[in-house]
Amino acid sequence: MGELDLEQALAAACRGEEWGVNLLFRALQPQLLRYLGQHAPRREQDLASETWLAVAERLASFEGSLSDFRALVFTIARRRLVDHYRQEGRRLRPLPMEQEAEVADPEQGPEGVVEVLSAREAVAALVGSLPPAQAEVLLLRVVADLGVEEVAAVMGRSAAAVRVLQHRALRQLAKRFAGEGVTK
Amino acid sequence: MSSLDDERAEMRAFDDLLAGLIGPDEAPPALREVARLVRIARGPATGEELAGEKLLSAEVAAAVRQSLPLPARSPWRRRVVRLASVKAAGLAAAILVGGGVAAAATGSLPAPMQRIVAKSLHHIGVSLPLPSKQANPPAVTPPVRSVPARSAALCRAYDLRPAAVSSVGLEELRRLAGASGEGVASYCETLLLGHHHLPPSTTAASSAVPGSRASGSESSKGAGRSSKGHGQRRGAGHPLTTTPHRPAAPASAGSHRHKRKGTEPRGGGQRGTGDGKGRGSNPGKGVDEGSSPGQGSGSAGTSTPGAGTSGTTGGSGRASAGGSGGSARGGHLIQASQGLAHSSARIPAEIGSIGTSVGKGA
Repeated sequence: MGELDLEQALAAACRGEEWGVNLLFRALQPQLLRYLGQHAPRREQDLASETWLAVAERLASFEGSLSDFRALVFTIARRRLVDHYRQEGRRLRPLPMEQEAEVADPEQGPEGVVEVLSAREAVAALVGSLPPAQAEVLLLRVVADLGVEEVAAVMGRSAAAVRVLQHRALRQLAKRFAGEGVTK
Repeated sequence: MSSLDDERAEMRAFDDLLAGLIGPDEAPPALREVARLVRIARGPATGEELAGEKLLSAEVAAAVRQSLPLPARSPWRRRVVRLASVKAAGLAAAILVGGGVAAAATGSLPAPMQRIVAKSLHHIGVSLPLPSKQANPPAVTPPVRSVPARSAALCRAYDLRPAAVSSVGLEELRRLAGASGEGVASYCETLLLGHHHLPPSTTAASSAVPGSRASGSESSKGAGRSSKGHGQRRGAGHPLTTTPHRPAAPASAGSHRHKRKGTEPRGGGQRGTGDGKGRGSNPGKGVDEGSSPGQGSGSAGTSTPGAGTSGTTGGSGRASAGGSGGSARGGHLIQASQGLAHSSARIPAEIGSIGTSVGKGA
């Protein structure tokens, strides 16, 4: 689905047209679940529903681009997460990987191993070993498909700080995956 | 290429990689694995992830439609409408509040409303007449003469404790007594016994309310009780059946806070003296006989047991309060009620103070 289609869908959704909402849902719901699932596994569906209902309250008066809308959706999702974490007495941070990634079988080759991972496992493999701030930047950049500026707005940081964080994260990942594969 | 340029190029490459613009094949070897993970993480939706999409989409769309603003109008029209709305609302509120207060002040609101307004305003120190419980509004009697409340209040104070009367008040009493050719004590005694009537020029017209506590249907009720009870209060012109008590506290006025089961004066009629509790030999059945002062035509108004009584006087008009109205009807009446009120421990002290202040204020 192209960006143009989604822009039109966004305009229709703002008018309360169901088809527009449906297209946006199909584009954003998987990202939302992957993002929320990394923070709060088994609670992502509830949190995503709450997020959509909160988004619905804003849609009628929403003015902006698709990027702005993405940023709005993930800002709301992040707030829901913060509330959720507060209820549990925790701070917002992506969960570490539940299972340490194993070195890929050299026979099979890293590519083949990686391809069998699900999207959620890939997300976990990407950010699970990173410090919270770096992990959050990568989640929002990769999973939520936000640009540096939008990530900065969602996280309440400067764009420069976000760039630094993502740079450090990628260097760390490069070091980690150098010569290794990731398997399940 | 400088190291700064290298760093910038690396940053751009990282940006592109995270945005999914660089595939594993194009990525530097060190980041190939990262590029693959990014691609998978950004992969297409699964059926599980899209479960319930129709339902949620419909809900969200409905919520959006509900929160949609009304159809847009031209800005100037919105402004005009808004301005007109604000002005109309303000005008309506002013009329409502002003009219309501005016109606409440004259006691002409419907009884339940009048009671609510009177009770509400009582908390902020504004006294308004409470409504009569009678279904039919009472007729208005001709104006009657009465002793001014101030004279009565001064005499009461003098009677209680002469030293407590201010020099100005004492001077006034002397002047009044002098005009009557009496001494102050004699003047006050006569006044409180109800034998004094002021010249017409000093009286105030009021509308004594037949059917209020002082007369009408309640009178007939009160008659039976008054035969039993002591502590009757009667207006001027009635034979006094009670023994005067020297009041220890000027608790003469009926309090607004009293629960009254009998009717209350409506319009210009004022509540008479206060409390019917614990009077005479028939405690709890205080009897209040109000009258149309000075006319000798008052009939007995009876308070129901335990309730505060109020006699209606035509006394000083609306501005005068119950205490003054009561005092106008006769010293025995007042004194009896005062003494009895004082003897009753159940009477809140504030009632007496209210009565006093009202009486003085009149």
